Amino acid sequence: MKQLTILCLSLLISVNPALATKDLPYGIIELEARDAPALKLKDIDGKTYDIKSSRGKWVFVHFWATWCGPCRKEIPTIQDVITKFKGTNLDIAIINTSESEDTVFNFLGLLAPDISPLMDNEGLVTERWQPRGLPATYFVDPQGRLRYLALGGRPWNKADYFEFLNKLKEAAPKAQ
Amino acid sequence: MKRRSLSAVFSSVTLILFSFNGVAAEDTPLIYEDQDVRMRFVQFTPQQISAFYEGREFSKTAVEKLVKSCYVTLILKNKTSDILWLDLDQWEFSHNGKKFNRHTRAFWEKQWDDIKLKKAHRSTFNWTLMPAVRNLYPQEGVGGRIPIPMQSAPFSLTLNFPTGKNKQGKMKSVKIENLNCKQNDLK
Repeated sequence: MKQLTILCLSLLISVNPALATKDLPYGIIELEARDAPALKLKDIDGKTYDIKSSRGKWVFVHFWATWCGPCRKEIPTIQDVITKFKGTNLDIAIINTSESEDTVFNFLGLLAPDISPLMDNEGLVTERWQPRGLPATYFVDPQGRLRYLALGGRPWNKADYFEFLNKLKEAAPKAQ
Repeated sequence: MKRRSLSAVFSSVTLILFSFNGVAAEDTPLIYEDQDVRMRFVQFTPQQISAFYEGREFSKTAVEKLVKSCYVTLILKNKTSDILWLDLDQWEFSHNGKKFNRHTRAFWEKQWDDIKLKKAHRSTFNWTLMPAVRNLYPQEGVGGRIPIPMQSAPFSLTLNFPTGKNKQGKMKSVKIENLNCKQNDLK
């Protein structure tokens, strides 16, 4: 009986993993589900990440640049998200748009040393995703579809945002 | 992130201070607010524009092209509970009753093609611009630069905002007078 209940719950989650709109924290909007654009980049340490490898998990996809004021304000809160969610069923992809490794390293070294950003050297991946501006954060569901968008910079380390991220983490089927 | 030595981390202090100096160099911004929108206009001198892009490793020829324009830098917030449309083609710049056009992204692409500006810098420049069209959600903000031909006298800007999901609502209009292209401080 217990196994049957777990199976039913798993099916429900995989069919409709979105949260109710009323549960969304301020500034997060639900999108009409559509396939996320391709995202395959090397991080600042040279390690390749492909969003396809995150199938079965929710993915926090964030675009930023050091020159952008709201990004500078938001980055320490993203560091907190990484500290809390690294290695869980919520994958985190932080993409720097069009800046040099030196610029990015010098900036993050002080403010957020745990972030290993993916380097979109020519800005082509960012253009493909067409964010509304920088910073921009999307949430991609375990089936690889865009489901939520954060409007502008958000204080990700505040309780209601942590709760939202926790719900996504719990909603994802367990990693294989 | 483990790529570099720890000493490099401390050099970032200089970078951060430099970044915030850019903010400190702003004059008192012009602020407009009513029940529907909040707008904050900031003007930068050619020297400030030059410093910003040089700091992002733009070439001298690119910076020379950039400082020939004036940049109306604006942060805008939709205070309504409906969609408010940012559509730069519906905004009118004028001086003494005579309209003039902003420098569009197509204008800049031609400039960048002429000097073969690399893709990364085109991308950075484009992201510093105000989006040409945007359906602003309730309480959403947007910011960026609107390049215009350099002006030697004050000018006005009429901002027309269509409203509603399909622009079916009443047009919201605001006219801002006495905007300036701020010049370098020669002291």
